Amino acid sequence: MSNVHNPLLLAEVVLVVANYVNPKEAATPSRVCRTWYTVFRPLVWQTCDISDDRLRPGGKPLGQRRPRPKDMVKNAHNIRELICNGSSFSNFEITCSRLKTLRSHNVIYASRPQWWSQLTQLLVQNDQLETVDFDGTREASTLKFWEALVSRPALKYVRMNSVNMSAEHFAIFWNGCRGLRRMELYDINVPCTSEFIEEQLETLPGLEAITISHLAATALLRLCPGLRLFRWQNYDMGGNGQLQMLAFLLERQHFPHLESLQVTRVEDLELATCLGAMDRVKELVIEGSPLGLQSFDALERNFAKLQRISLEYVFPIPSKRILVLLESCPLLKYIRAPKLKASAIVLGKPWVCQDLEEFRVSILVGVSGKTTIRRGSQAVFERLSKLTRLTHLDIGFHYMQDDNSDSDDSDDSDGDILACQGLDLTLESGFSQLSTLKNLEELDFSYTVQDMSAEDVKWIRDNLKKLQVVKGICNRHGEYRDQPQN
Amino acid sequence: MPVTLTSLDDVKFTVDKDVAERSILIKNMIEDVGESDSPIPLPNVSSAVLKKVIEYCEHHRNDPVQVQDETDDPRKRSNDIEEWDMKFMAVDQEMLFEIILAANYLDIKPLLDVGCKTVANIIKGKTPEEIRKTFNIVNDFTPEEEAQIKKENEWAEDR
Repeated sequence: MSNVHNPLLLAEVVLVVANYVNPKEAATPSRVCRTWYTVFRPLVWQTCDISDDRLRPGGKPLGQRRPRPKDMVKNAHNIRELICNGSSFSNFEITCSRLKTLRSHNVIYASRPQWWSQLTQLLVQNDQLETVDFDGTREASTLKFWEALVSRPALKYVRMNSVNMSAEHFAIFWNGCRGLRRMELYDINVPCTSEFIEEQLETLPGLEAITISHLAATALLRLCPGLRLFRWQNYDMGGNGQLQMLAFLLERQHFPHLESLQVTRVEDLELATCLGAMDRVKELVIEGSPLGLQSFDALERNFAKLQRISLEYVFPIPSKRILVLLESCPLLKYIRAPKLKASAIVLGKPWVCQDLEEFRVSILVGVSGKTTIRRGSQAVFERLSKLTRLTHLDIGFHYMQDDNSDSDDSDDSDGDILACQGLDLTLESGFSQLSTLKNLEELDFSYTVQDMSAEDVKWIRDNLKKLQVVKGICNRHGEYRDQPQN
Repeated sequence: MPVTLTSLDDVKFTVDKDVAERSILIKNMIEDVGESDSPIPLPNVSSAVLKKVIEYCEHHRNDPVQVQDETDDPRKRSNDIEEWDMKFMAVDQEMLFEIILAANYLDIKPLLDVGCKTVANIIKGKTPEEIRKTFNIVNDFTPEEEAQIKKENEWAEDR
């Protein structure tokens, strides 16, 4: 027998164990013993959220605790990502100096007189910052703030929202960000003209991704020849001619690296022109407008390269058009679309997207009786079972609307769309075919009506071992499961 | 060219050189000593454990050597353990500990990783007391320290 002593008392071994523990779960192991405390403590404090604003998007759940201020000071050197908001500055003494990520939010257009000087102070203290994500206030930003921001030597990603700044400040920001890779500008008010942009702003060859919601997109894009991703996010009701100008630009200036386009509320022709002018389209995200015929045709040339497509709040769009994507895009990894009819799937060709990782499309099965639903579900499961790399399967009815988008389908015997059922997730309907989905982590069937038995649920637990999140109601008796489960 | 390894309890194991060199410790010893028939002594590893370690190295003899990546994002690190390794690690706790100790001493990083991933999966969802009981770890905090630490990290629980 060799010397038996406990490897889990050796810091170097516990360190390797800690590598495989989610930082969010590091608090409990840190309480085991002194060695574990030393090893796990930095992990616990790696990401620290001291905000209390529950209204901000993605705000944390009610009752989420914040650290005690004195503990935060004690552990400031461990914090790499800090999430804070306006009131955090008065409740905490923020002595962090090794931050890589700073997220500082506000209720939009709140009045916070100290905000800019407090943020500036925080920036100046932290010269390893790579990501800065912040909201503005009603008060205008200050020169000192922008100078502090652009002097962060490792800065790679800036996201800003609702900021009032002068043209001069914008020039300091834009011209100062030499190493920036990604920029997101939401709701930025800058009084400047295209001429100003052309004359005062420099080219940023290193910028790979930009999101714009209000600024003069075209003029800025001319300065980003290395762009890989362009995101246009504008929810103005009146529509906008911005994408028309973008299309104009893309036809005249070559963007050799541009491969990802994300847009909201655009006209078919504008989008089609943009797609046509791109060397390749690997990713397309559309929100709030249809994927019209011309855009679809322009996209068709890129089927061989398309990896990600997301069509959200996009009506109308016939099942067949979505189906074609599954049947024609071998590199597809991610698809989100409103809905697909089982009947169309059954009549369609085999799917070529073998490497698909995320499938997020509501699937409608006809209403005319249990047999149809079983058969329809059976056929769909057969198709889905071939997607062995799937990690996320979402067939919930998140956004159902009767839109007659499938009225041009030849097979329209399913009748009133609103009465359609979702897939029947029972063993009787062939659900067990999905045993091939060994990598499935998320299963979402929210808002579909299910009648699963205990046996069906047990099958899921026994066969889909990597499943962590299940969402949906299993049967009429209201067994509701929405949980990260081990 | 075969290599002979001698365990703590004097049992000799003959393995191929490339298998033995999955252990960086052994690899370095061979380089230092040069071409030699003399067995390599491993006084810290018993025969039962060495047998297991050799089994692992033989199965993984053709794996590419891992490159240490400093910028590795921990969140991308998967806790997936391939099926063969899972069966290999289905041992009692004493042997699990021995394997980890041996992997650490012999500097076989992939084996150490697999052992530690196994431990990480075991501690998931357990309370500190349950973890201590599972792994025979003594609570060396004073009651005051323990209470203090609980308060200090309370905000971070159940994130």
